[in-house]
Amino acid sequence: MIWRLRRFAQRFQNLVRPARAERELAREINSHLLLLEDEFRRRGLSAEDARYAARRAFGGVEQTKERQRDARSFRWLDDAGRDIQYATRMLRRSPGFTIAAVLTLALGIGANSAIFTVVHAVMLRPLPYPEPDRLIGVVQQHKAFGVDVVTLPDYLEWRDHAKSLTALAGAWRITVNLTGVDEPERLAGAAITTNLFTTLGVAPQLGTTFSDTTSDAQSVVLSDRLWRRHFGAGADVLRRTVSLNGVKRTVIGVMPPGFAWPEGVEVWIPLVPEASMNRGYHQLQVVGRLAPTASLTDADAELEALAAASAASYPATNKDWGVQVSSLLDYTVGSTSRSLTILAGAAGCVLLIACANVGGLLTARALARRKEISLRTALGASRSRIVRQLLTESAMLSLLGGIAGLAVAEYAIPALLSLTTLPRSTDIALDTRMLGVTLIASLAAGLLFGLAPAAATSRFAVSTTIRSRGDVSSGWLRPALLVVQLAAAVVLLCGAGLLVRSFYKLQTVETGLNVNRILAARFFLPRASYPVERCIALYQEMITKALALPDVSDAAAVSVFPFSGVSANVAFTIPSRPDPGSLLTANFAAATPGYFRVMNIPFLIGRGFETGDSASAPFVAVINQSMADRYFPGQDPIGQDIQILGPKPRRIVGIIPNLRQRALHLPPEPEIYVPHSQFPTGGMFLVVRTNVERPERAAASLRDAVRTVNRDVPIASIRTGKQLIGDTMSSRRLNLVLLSVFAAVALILSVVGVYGVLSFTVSRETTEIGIRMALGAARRDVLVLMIRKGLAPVILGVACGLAIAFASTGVLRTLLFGIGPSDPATIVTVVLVLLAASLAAVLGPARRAAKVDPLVALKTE
Amino acid sequence: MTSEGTDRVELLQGTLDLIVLRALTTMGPQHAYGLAARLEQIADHPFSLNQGTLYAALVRLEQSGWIKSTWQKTENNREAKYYAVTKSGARALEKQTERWQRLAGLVNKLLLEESS
Repeated sequence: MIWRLRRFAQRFQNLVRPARAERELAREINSHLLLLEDEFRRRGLSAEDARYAARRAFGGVEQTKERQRDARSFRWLDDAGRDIQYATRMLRRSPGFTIAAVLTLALGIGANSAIFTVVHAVMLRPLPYPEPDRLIGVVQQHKAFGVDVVTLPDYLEWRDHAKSLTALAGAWRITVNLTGVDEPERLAGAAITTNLFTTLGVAPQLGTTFSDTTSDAQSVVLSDRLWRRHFGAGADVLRRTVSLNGVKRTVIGVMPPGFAWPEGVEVWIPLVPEASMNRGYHQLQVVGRLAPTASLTDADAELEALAAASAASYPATNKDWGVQVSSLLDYTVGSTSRSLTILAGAAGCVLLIACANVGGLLTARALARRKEISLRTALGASRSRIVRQLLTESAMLSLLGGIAGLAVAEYAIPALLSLTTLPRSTDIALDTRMLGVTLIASLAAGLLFGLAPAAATSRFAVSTTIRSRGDVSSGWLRPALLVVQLAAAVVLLCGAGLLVRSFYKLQTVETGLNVNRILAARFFLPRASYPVERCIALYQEMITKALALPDVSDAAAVSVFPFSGVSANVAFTIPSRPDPGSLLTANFAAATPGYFRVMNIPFLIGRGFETGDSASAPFVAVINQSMADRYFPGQDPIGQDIQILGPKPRRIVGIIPNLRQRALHLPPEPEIYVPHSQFPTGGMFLVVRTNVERPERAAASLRDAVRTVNRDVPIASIRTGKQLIGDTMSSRRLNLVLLSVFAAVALILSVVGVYGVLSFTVSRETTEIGIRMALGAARRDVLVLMIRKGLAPVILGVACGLAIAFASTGVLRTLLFGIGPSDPATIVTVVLVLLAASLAAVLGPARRAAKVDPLVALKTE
Repeated sequence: MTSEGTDRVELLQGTLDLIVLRALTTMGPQHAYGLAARLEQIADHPFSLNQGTLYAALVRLEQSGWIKSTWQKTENNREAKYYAVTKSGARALEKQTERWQRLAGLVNKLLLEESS
């Protein structure tokens, strides 16, 4: 209907340009009053009386205007506009309150935005492949050793026999030296079964991928990033030849942007099956696609049956090995999901505390504004109008908090990612959806914590509040919020305390190594370009060059450097014991003669390697104490023979103490060292002991010295020993740092809350205190009373928090080291810290209460 | 402010609009004061009309295009805003009256039924 449209248009016009309608209305009412006045004068009143009578007869001019305004425009919009104006003014008038509230919320909202952005990217967003929920990941699981990747023979068996899968593919992570390009580079690569790309359902953006014919054996597929970095994203890259580990390969395809499976891989080459048909060699990451009718359980049952059959056929290698099938998402995310879930929970606690805190602030403020609100009620504001006004204020606060929180998250996300390496985290950034979620969450939080104080305030009876101080029934609200806050703080503090103690215990673990001035540079000399003699000679030359540097006091090379993440586990036999009953394994490393000296590793018995231990000399080995204890109990291992990676027996010539090498929380394992000259592997660490306090200062000169030996070999990394140990702690650091930050925030906010509640109580009960004193209460009594009052919610909160903490810290169990989830020392410390901080917080207001002058207190009433 | 809860007649939503429209039709162009006086006069029970509601009704009617206003001089040479019914206002009055009567008939019937 036309008239509805017309009316809408006019109301809208009046909304945006109210001035004209306002002038018109004022003029009209004025004329109305004058006409009334005329009428009263006609009835015989004096001019002045007539004017008053007209006013009386007309009624409330402002109310009339208000109702006309409602009709002529959109009332709610207009109101909202005015509410916002008013709220802005109120917030600006008390900057202390506003800043405190906005910062508190910014911390809570920012922490949550950051964590949930990461949680979404890592755990929730679907994998970037077609039908991602049909994809599975498979690992092998040993009863004692735990989980490991898959051997090639087992993979082939599953691929050929599993009916619940339409495809099963494998990838073997390798690292390669890329040469034949401008800047040689060391890259993460994968040797893959030819069906990997089709299993995942990803086609190349350029060229093709591997087919099953052998003609592809010398080809390579590149990632989009590598293609852009080295080949300028040109189509002419196809058929070009590059050199990988010294082997010439032809580029046949480029994968689409963002594709990297296994994660981080930049080149793919076909896997040559003959090379590694060892049944004991676990190397393949296996991904499969479920048949349309099959479920995850079907696949698990079928593969488990196949594994059981293999265990029966090949007991030496497959005994006790089962399988574990999971969705590819779970397979990729792995154990990270646990620590992220914990962090999400902790971030939620922080938001809860922040909301409770701001809720407390708002309640206190609302109570302090009783008189103002009563006045507005008296002037005709309806209850809903006042509630809406207060909610507008809290919504504005939370919106400001949300915006500030986004800024916090913007900085927090990269900081968080730098603490550790997470899967699927390469392209994490705050996205627009996160922005929306944050804003909605902050608004919801605003309404939530604004509701209680608003409801409480609007109940104030007009007459009583204006006339007197009229006590309000909402005295329980702030202490209740405080209890919630403290309970959450206790949970966070317990969690953080447990992690801190674990971390501390780990740091003080005796590794047996002195890595203070050690620098380790990683190299890889591919066999194709560096035959055995050349490899040995080249490393020898690098050591000599390094020794010539002024900053370097000693140098050697080793294939497995402690805490580097590189490890090698080998099976060996003891020829004097033909049937040992089970597979004998130990960690394995090749070292040059100087290695034990550089690392200050002493010999318990026997000797280290000497230059005489050459390829032609009798083969020798050094073992550690753990190896001696486990495999030669009650015997002297010196002089015994073992057989590793080759038919020639090796004689044990020395024993070194146990060292922690893989990770601080893992106990020492059996180890075997052999001379590099007798096992010339191409991948080595050049290890130098510097005579400078900060070994990283020597890194540049070491790099230059090595370049003079060989220009073509990229240095994969140069790290100090301390950095390497630190790296192994990185996954702990994420939880540790974040939980500690959260706990610190929680502690501060809670203490502020404790202080706020009591100081508010004191100011509200000044009269009561005055009366008590007038009736003979001593200052000390008042002090004790107030402290008791202030600590009551604290004790209740701590009790609740402890109950929750006992129930929930079990989730931390896997992250702990050396202590249990209900470690008494941690819990006692947390409780004491909280109580001490709370006591300090209540002391101020309690003292103030004790100083109340009864005369003044009673007079002001 | 007018006193609370005495004998004020609470009007149904939209009823006042109809009354004002009807009054303007019978009286011819009129200002708000005149309308208020007239409405008080015709109600046998003096319902002390809230000026606020009257002004709200006037602005609603004007925005709908059913009445239009002009500033004119009164016989006492005061200026006042005069409202007059438009053509679409007359049509609307017809329609609304009909609707009102139908509704009133229905309500009456229901009330009688209930009390019997």
